[in-house]
Amino acid sequence: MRFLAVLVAALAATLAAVVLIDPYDSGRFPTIGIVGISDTNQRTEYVSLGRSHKFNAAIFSDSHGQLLDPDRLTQATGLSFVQLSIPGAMAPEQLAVMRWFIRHHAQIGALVLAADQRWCGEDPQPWKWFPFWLYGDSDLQYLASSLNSRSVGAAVRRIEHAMGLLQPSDRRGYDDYEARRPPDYTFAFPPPPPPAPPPAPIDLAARVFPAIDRLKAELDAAPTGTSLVVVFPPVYIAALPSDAQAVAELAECKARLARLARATPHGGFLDYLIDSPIARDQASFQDVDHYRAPVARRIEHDIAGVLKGPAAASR
Amino acid sequence: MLFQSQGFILIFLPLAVAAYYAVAGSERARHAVLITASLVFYGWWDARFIALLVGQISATWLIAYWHKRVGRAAILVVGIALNLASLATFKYLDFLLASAEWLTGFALPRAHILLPIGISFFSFQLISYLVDRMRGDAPLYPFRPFALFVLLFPHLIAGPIVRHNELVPQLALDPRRDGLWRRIAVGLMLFTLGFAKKVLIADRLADMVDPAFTAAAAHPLGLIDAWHAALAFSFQLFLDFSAYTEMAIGIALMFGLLLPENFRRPYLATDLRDFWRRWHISLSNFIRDYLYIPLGGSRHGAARYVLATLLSMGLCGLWHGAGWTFAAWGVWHGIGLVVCRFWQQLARPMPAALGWLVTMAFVLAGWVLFRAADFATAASMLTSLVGLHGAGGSFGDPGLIIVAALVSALIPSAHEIKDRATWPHPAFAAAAAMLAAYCVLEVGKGPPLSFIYFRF
Repeated sequence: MRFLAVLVAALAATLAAVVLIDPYDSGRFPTIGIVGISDTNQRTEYVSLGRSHKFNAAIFSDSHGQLLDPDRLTQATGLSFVQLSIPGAMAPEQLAVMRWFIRHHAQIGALVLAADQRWCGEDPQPWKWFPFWLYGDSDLQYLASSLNSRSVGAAVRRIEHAMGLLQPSDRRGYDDYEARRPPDYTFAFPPPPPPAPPPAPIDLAARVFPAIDRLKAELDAAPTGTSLVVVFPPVYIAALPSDAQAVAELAECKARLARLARATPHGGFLDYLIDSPIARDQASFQDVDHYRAPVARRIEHDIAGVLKGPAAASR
Repeated sequence: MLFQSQGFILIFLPLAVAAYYAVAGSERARHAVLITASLVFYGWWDARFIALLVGQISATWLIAYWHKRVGRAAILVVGIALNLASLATFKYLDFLLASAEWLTGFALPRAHILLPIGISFFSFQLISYLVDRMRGDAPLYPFRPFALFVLLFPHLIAGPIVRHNELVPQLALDPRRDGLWRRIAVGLMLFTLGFAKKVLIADRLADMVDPAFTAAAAHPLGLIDAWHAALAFSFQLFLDFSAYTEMAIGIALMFGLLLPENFRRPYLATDLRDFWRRWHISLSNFIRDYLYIPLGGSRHGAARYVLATLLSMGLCGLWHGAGWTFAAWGVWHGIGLVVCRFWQQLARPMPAALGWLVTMAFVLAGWVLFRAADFATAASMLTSLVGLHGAGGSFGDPGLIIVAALVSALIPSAHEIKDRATWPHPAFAAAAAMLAAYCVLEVGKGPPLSFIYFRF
């Protein structure tokens, strides 16, 4: 009986402490009132930022949207941007964060989606290690999933943060990967592929894009007047798809996302994932997949142009 | 559903125990609770295989029933063949096709059948019952206790392999009989012990072992890396499987049932025969009684003994997995057992320390064969272990290996703990509860790792 009493008491006390401290600032239950968090893991950090009413616009992506600066976009558009891109996140994870942001905002200026081929799959699989329970609709699932040592560790960090022992998270969620690059960093870019003839058209009218369908459902639930800007950031020329089927699927995917974005007020579509002077310039990239600051500034400028200018701007 | 998952520990097990004791006065109701719980437990992985499990149990019982009425042994042979056919189809079909393809050179299709979890365990239990009936050692039980003897969820997935006469009589006992609270207390302690071994040691060893064996498949490892991987796997396998056994015996005790012993500190064995008396005891006994002795055992001359040993151990290897590396591992141990027996007949015993060293080196080499994905990886690993690929590598976390070694050597077997345990001191119970709570929080972090023996 002593064993059972201590086990139940220990687990109940742990769960109660986790709920009251609210380690990720989920706002689901009454808490002891700590303000802010200290978290360096975007997978959990964006629970707090994603529900904050300081922001009315957000960027969703994997690392391909990470370098877009929410401060600069805020200055350029007059909206208040937060960066919610999670390196490694696939479409299901990005959609979960987007849903969380939409659920917590009665007014939204803009949603910026920096998409890539991960949005074009026929069967997008959720990421095993992503904490969907943190962003989900169910408080019960949140409670059931909170009983773990990671949440306990996060609760301890939040207490340390409240005591001033830890730095708070970035106020807009920005994480500049270029800032972590060593000074002597170099990257051996593969040679550009030889020019290929334009692939024969492939009929993809019947092809399904489940992630785009889910994006549409989330947009339908967003407040009236929400703009959607979809951006396909550039990659180095050698990383562009060359297989005819992949090229055709990407083109169809872009077309469907463009239609969706242009149907929203002040929405638009920006496509840099093409063979262009940017894609052929090694100085624009840190590696084949990740562009550098000047490219980010240009994309931010173009996003601001779409949001401020006439609807449906396009490159 | 895994024993160490939060869903099992915090919801399934308390509900099952509460329901069981709520109806403890009625044997029929108790059995119904355990059968329902076991079917839910099994169906949690893949409900489709419930039909196979229940079908095999029902068919076996009907065959035994028919045998009782008709009295012909051939009927029981049909039942044994039926269970073997199920095992062969679901576990070995693709392996047999691949082997036939390799032998004949003809391209053969594959069935790609999913392996029903625990099929090796429940098939063996059903076969042992039919063989015992053939020997006149098994009565025809009523269907309900017979089904429960196979279905009982603590041993259903990965043993210990239970014989009908060990379990069926216990199912009639009132769980509220004398010693109720002691059984529950010891059950909770054993469960916590296994839980902690699995979560805090075995799963952490897996994080070392898996990348090392993957790397060994791509390129030879240095001496230190190879020893690190081989030692880590040796301890992982024992701690993972013995943890499962302790949790299984602990859970069964909470229901007032005693499952057989499976491990008695096997890494203290000073010869290979001693090792097999300590390692996976319920399987060793099964192999001895249903393969080795029927094949002739040691009473029909040396040649027959060698043949019976090699064949029994080869099949024991194949039981672990549908692959030739498993068969080779079994034969490796068969050869070791033969050599060990002949050496012992010389009556020139090795010093115990030397015997232990030789035995452990032999067992460790066997584990490399057991764990490696193919013979090439095993050969690469074994040659690395003797230093043929340089001394490179690092002993990643020697502390964990040392802890694993100490736990393997010092913690007594589940039955020894059960028999020797005095009434737990309240402070000890509280400490064990805190350890269990810590482990519950640890497993809550992410999808728990399956027990290694689930795949057999």
